[in-house]
Amino acid sequence: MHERGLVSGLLVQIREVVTPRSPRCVRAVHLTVGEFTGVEPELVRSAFEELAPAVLHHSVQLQLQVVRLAARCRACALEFDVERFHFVCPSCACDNVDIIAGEQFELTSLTIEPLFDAARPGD
Amino acid sequence: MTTVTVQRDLLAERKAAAAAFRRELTARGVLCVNMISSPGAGKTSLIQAAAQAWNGRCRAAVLTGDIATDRDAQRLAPFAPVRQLTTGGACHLELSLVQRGWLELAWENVEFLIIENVGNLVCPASHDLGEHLRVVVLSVTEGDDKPGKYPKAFRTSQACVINKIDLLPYVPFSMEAVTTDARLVQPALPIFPVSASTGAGVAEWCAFLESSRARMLAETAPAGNPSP
Repeated sequence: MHERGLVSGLLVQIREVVTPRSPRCVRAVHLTVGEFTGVEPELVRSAFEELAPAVLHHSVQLQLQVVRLAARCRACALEFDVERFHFVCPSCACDNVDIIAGEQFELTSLTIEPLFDAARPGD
Repeated sequence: MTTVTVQRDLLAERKAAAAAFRRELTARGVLCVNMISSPGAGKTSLIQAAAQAWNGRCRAAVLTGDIATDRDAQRLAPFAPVRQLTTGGACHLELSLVQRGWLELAWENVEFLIIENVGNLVCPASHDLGEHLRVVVLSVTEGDDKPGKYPKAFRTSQACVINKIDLLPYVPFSMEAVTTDARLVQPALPIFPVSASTGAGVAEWCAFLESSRARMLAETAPAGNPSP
């Protein structure tokens, strides 16, 4: 996917979440990226480094949590990590499985400086 | 420091936009087919072969995506209403381009909207264009090991066409190996061996598209709820 566009959308979302405060009060951004989403964490990171300074504080940190691809078997209800993209239940060999994780791209949480004053020089 | 839980799906907007376009097409009785493949697998030839086989019996309109030129649109123009979508370098089609092309087509009584994506087995697999069916086309000259190498393209597709089967005697490509590999990724994947140039398998492929549309109409008609 094109990560720059996704990061631009992320910055808009962050601004919305912290309103009416300045987005410069954000100290860390926590993202969840599924390994089957088609979003490359390293490209998200470089797009963030490029685009974030215009909106967020210069010391803001990006925390990326990569979520493994996981599925649930429709026959035996086992939840398992999908290895090598083989969508087959390791317990009962049933191939009717639903993806339950690994396709998301989420803004999980924000760490915020509570006493941040947007007008203070240096911030 | 305070941590604020947000839990926002950053893909929600584009998922909702694709779902809305799909509902619009469903309500109009149009089955939308998004064809993805590597360059040269024969998407254009396959679309042409289907249109010729239908010979007006089914009405399909085509949106064809390329980085440059309108060669595919020119090739298809004698067989179906077609618009070229030129991406200007982007490696895949986006929903907004497709929607604009759909409006420009302005064709009455279309039963199928066939989208020919940009030749690429990676990025198109991550972009929902509002299609009812995603079809991955693989030609025998590309090798039978592709499903495992491009799992997202095969996992997210509802059908697979193996094209250029007339070349099978000349290339090391095993239908059995590709079927096994594809079904590890997507066990329910229907596979259609086709030669767009000789016409072999084209009738079965057209019948699958027709039955898919019939199923869509049957699923949506009684309740009036056009969710795909």
